[in-house]
Amino acid sequence: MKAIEILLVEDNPGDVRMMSETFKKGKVHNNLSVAMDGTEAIAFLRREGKYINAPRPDLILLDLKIPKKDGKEVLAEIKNDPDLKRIPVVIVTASDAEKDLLESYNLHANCYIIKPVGLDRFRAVMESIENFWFTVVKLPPGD
Amino acid sequence: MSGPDGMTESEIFSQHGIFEKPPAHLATGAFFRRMVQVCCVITAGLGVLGMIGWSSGLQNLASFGSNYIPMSPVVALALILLGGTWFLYVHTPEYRFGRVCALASAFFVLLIALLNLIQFLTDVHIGIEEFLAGIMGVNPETYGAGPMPSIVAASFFLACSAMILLLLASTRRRAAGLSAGISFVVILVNLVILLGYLYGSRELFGGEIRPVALPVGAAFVVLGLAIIATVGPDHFPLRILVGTSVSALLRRSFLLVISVVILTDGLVYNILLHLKVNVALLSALSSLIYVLPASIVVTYIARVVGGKMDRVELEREQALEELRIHENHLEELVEERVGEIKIINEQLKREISDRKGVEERLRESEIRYRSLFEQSPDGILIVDPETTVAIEFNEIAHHQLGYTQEEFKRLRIFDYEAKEKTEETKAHIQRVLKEGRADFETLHRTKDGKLRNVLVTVQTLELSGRIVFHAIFRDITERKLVEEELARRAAELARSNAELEQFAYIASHDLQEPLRTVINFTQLLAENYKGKLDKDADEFIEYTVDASTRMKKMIDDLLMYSRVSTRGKPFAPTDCETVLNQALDNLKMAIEESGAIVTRDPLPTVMADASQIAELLQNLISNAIKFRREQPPRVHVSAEQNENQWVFSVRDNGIGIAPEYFERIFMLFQRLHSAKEYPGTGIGLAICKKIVERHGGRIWVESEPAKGSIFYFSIPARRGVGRY
Repeated sequence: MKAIEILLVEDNPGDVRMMSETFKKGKVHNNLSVAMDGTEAIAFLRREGKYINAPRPDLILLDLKIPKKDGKEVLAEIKNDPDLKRIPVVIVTASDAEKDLLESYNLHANCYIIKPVGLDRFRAVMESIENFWFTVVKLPPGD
Repeated sequence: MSGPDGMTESEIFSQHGIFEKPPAHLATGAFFRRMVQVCCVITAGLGVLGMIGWSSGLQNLASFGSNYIPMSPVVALALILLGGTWFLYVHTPEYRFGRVCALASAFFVLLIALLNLIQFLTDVHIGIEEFLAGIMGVNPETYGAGPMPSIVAASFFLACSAMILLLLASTRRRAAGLSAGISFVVILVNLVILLGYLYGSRELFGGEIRPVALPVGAAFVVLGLAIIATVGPDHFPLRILVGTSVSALLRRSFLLVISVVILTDGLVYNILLHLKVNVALLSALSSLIYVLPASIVVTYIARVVGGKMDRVELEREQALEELRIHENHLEELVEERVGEIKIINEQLKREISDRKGVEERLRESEIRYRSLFEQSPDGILIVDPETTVAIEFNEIAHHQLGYTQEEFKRLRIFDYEAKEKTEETKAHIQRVLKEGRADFETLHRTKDGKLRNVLVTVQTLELSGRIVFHAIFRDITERKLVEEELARRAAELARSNAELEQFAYIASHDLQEPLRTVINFTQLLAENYKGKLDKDADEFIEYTVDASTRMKKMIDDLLMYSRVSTRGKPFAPTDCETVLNQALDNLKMAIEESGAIVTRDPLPTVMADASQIAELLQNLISNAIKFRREQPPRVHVSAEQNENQWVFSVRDNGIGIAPEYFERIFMLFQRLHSAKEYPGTGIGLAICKKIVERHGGRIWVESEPAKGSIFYFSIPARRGVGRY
């Protein structure tokens, strides 16, 4: 079975560490790539520069508060790109602002998750993401 | 019967000729006419009797007694002519025929009488008597004819004269009067003759010369009466006998008495004389016989005259009574009228004083307006809408624009109106003319060129029939500056508030991010390394976890606090009963655990944000339960209307608060107890305060330590809502 490719766009190394730790222990075989800012994420997706050989992700986990290009800009570019727009984008953010929530969905985010506080809850949420998107959902075909 | 000038009705008629009517002496009524006719018939009848006597040889018919001398046939003829023609004349006075016949007869008889008189006076025997007797077929020798007695001739002469006078000059008063007078003389003369016959005194009816026959004397009396009756009651002698006056009545009565007495006396005397009674007895009897008719007559007079007088007296009294009634009525009317006049006078007085009052008020009103006009802090102007020049204005009006009174008199509105406002002002003038008033702001330029903000209130007034503008200029330049400054500050405040809100929001929001990492990793640290490091490390990790968790809670509270204003909903009618139920539902666990009893009074419906009121009540009740003493908490919620606001109260029997903390407890993160005693961040009451203030109310506390607290908050009552 082919490993599921995940792109995590997240600038907080703590969160990156926590998430990658979680996914590593996951039941489904996956490859997690990390982009630390918006520009990098776009370059990765378009296989530009050093990402010429980057895999096409099956799922994107996108934080809204990221340097250079913020999360919503990245989301808009993805969803306006006829090639990329099929890739499900899960917004994972600390913001519970209504404004952020509505704007994200208006830009066709596939779901919106608020980063939980506390280790146990964090783990539970990550596990449910993994469970839902990797096993329940039938993802569109890649390349 | 007399008119105002002592003239009778018929006189008035004849004088003025208003009516075409028969001669006045015949117009005096049916009674007299009848009397004339009767008298004429008697006269003619006596003549006829005489004639029959002579023709048939029954001399008594011409003499009325065998001892008496008979009337001569000529006299009989004369009587028939006079009586017959006069009857004819009186019967139908409108026909000329009767009148002509009467006149002819009268002249004829007059002629015979004259001839006889001449014969008597001159002693020349003309033989007229025999001549006429011959014509009539009577033998003059059979009756011892001679000239007719002089008294008879004179009587005929007088009677015929009276008749002719009346026939020829009937419309003249004097002629009628004279005619009646002559007739009266005839009557008197012949009455004497009749008395002579009555008393058997020959001297009285002719003596030894030529006596007058009894029927002739009677005929003359009757003929005289006929003429007098023809003349009528307007003239002497009837004038003094007829009428309803008491004097006329008395005259009639006495005439009757005299007649009756004379007649009775004469008759009795004759009878007694025939019976040959002696003189003494005769006198006594005649005296007695006087008394009887006299008594009857006197009684009659007394009855008639007295009755008349009594009636008159009664009528007078009745008239007087009526007069008195009329007078009384008149007095009443006068009094009534006087009363009315008094009332009208009173009204008039009142009206006058009212009018004075009105004038007084008008004057006062004028004074008030004048002082208002002169001392007003605003410019007041009366402006002619056509020229736009002020007809009248107060000192402020020109002063605030920097002009003298003289200069301002000549200025049009557009001379001091700022140029950029000209068009607008023209529109305002049109509007005032159309709608009668307008309020607007404009810019005026003072004499030295400065611009002033002016609030103008204009309305139209009608002064002496023409429309003028009554304008009030209020210089609001200073006010405008202050307002602008205020608005600027308010905007600044709003901005800084918004910034502050934003700051709190962003700060708390952005703080979450690193804090989350701290919490997650300290927990991870504790999980992975607890017991693997030394004891101190375990303790430090525990402090870090605690502090970061508490900080997370504070940041959450701060977020909630800032959301009171940023996430508040618009106010709507809110039923506080429902809201309280909702709050109690949320507190179900705490209530059950503590065994709290929550009671309530009826709560109103107010204009509010329902979820915030729920949060408010929930916070207060939750505090009441949380800060309890040993016994189970008792909480009572009530509300009462106080002027224009509702004051809610939440009363508990908890630990209470010392007065010095009454203010502090509502401040952010202010706590009176350690987290160990009573957990919490100290945000609850600060949020309550913010919610109440957002609703335009106030929150405060009354409390006594160890007894309990009452938290009050007020919500303004708005129209349409606020009933229980």
